[in-house]
Amino acid sequence: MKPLGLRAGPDLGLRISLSVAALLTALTVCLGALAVQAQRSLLLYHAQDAGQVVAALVSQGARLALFAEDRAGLRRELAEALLHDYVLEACALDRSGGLLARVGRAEAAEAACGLGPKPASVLDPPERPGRLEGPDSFTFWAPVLTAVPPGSEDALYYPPEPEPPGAVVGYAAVRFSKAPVREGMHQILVRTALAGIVFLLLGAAVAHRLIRAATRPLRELTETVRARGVPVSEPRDDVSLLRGAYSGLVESLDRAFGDLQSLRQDLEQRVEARTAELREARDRLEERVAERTAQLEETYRQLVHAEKLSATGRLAASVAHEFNNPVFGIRNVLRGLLASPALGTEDRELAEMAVAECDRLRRLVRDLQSFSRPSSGRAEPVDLRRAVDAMVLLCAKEFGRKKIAVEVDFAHDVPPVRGVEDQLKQVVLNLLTNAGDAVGDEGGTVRVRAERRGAEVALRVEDTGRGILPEHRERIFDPFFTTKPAVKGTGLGLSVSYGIVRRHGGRIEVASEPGRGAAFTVTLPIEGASQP
Amino acid sequence: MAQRKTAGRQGHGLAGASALRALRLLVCALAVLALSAVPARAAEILAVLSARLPPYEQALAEFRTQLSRLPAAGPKAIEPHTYTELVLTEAGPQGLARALRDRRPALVLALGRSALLAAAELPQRPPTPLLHLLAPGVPPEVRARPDVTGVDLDVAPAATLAVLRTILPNLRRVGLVYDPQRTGALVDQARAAAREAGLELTALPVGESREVPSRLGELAGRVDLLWLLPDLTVATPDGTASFVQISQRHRVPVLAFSRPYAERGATLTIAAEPGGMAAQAARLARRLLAGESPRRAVPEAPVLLSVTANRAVAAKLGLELVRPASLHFEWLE
Repeated sequence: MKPLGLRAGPDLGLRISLSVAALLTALTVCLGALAVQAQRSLLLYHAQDAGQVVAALVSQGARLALFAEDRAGLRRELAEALLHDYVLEACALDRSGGLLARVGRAEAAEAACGLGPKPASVLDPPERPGRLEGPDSFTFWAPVLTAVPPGSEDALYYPPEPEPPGAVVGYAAVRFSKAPVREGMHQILVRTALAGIVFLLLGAAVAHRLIRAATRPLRELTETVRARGVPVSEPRDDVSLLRGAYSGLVESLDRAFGDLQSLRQDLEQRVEARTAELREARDRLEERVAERTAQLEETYRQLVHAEKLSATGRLAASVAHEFNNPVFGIRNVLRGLLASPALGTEDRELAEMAVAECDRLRRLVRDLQSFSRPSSGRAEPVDLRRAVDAMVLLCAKEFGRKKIAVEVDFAHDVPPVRGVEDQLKQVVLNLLTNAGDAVGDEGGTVRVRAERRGAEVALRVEDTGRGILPEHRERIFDPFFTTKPAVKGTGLGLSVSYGIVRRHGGRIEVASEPGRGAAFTVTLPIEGASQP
Repeated sequence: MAQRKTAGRQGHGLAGASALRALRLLVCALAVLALSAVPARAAEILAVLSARLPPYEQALAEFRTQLSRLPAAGPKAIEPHTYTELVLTEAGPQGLARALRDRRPALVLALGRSALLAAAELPQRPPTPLLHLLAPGVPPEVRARPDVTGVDLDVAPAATLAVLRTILPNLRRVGLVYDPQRTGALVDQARAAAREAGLELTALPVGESREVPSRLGELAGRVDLLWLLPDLTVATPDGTASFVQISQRHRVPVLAFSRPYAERGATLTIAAEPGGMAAQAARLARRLLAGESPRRAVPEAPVLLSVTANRAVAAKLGLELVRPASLHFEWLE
């Protein structure tokens, strides 16, 4: 690689200038030679034309003198030719070539035209003009023709047109010096040489300016290439430098195009991968949306069902209230009968059983009212044993129908917990209901146990039902998650219970094995324990 | 009553005479109409041209035009006449004889002297009137023939000099060169005419053409005008050139006898007017075609003359020409 900035070889503009100069010189020489030759031909043509014109004029003038055989007049006509500066002599000859008259300048060679070749050898045909060229002069010959005399009186009045050529009666010769031709040639050479030099100089100047102007972009480009440091191997001159730079740039461009191509392919692959991921995500999202949509629709149905249950609760509470007064009246009547001494033993026992049933009926009505009564939201000490009993009582009939045995086992040191009683009852009821549902109609056992664990009370509700599938264990506290038929469960029981327990500062845990029942443990802080 | 009968007879007699006169007038009118309505045959005219030259062709065309304008006369004078043209230099005397034999023309129109002499030499049975036009120097023996008539091309020297005096009123001396063998009689007429016109005429004879320049040189300085006569010895191209050369050299005008000489450098020409000659010939032809004997239709001299002047030559010579109002005058540019 050649170091940048190093100039090698002659400048391109200089080389072009030298070539153009050589071309211009050759062109000037050729054109000059052609111009000289053309002007020489023109000069000779004009000289010959002038000579022939003068010879023709002399022959015309000599015609009448020859016609009249007037030698004096003939010399007079010949002398007219000497008015021309370069005419050396003029001669008139008869038809056989004999000299009739001659006039000439003193310095002219004596009788050059008269003693020259015979006119017949010069003029062939004799009616045409002729020319002889000597070393120092041209001699022009012209025949002297007489007109044809009219052959009749008719031709006198109406001569034929054009006039027919007459017979040759003699010849006129005019000898011209070659001096004007030589002088003309000399002037032509001088003028042509001067014109060639001027043309060469002007052409060189113009060519130089044009070449400078034309190669300026090339020089600027070369300087740019050098300034940018484009690596070029062995630049001999500007052109090779540019050629090398151009080749390097082309190679770089090819590489860049290759890189661009690979980048484009990689980008396309990445785009395809991203597109596939997006497509997959979109599919998942669509599935989630479909699932959520189904859940919403299910929730809507359950809400409708819950509204029905709420209305049923309110109706039951109203009916219970209406039951309460008659039951109270019946109990009072029965208490009055029991106070009667006339009542027999069997009747008394029956009356006492009736009173006991009335009490049970009163408790049932109270429980119904308390179930449907809105929560007070006020925390207070709650006896879990009483709450459990009340809820077991509510479920007793259902459990009995399903042949489910309920076992309640409370430790003796279970203290009251702090909470909202009806909310805690709802938790217990939910757990009992789920346990009953898990056991099913084949019968089983539901055990309720409570014990103190430090500052907490643990309430455990376990059943002998079908248990919870592992894939369901993570979702059982989700709202609206249920495995029950739609007519039985809303999917809100455990989630509501979870929320209630959490608000009470406790926690709820589940342990289960499929087919071997489940156990829900609710841990609540005891009354008087500090809240976490 | 008787008077009334007489009167009635007389009345009948007058009425009959009137009716008879009316009948006679009617018969005469019908006869005139019948005679005038007789269809006449078109005349066959054989036009013989000496050569195919524009002057002859133009003269023939003018002759035909003029003849067609003249009123018909005689049984053979109804237009259109039938013309047969024949060029002597092309057809030759044999062609002319064949045409005369085949066409049997009512009139032979000879245009030019050669045509006239050729037609006059041929025997014609029956004799056909021979009318010449543009024929110079008609030989006396031809002119004397009873079947020959025409219009002369030559202008009489008296007429020429009369016109010349009109154009150049200050002219006094006139010189000419002539061949006594050819134009001796004409020069005699010229001398007489010059005397009558008050001009001094110098006529130098020559025996051959080469003498013309030298004789003209003798006239130089002695005359005010050189007169070129229609002389075959003198009016050659070289002779004419000599006239022009002497004219230019000595500033003397040249008078010639035909328009082409003005084109060759003569100062002016006085010649017969071609249209006028054609009209004269047409009138003679009408008389001949009407049956009049050629003997009675004598040859005529040209009535109308024309003058042609070379403006450039006249200007170089410093001549001031007076244009005659009664003549056809033309400046040649």
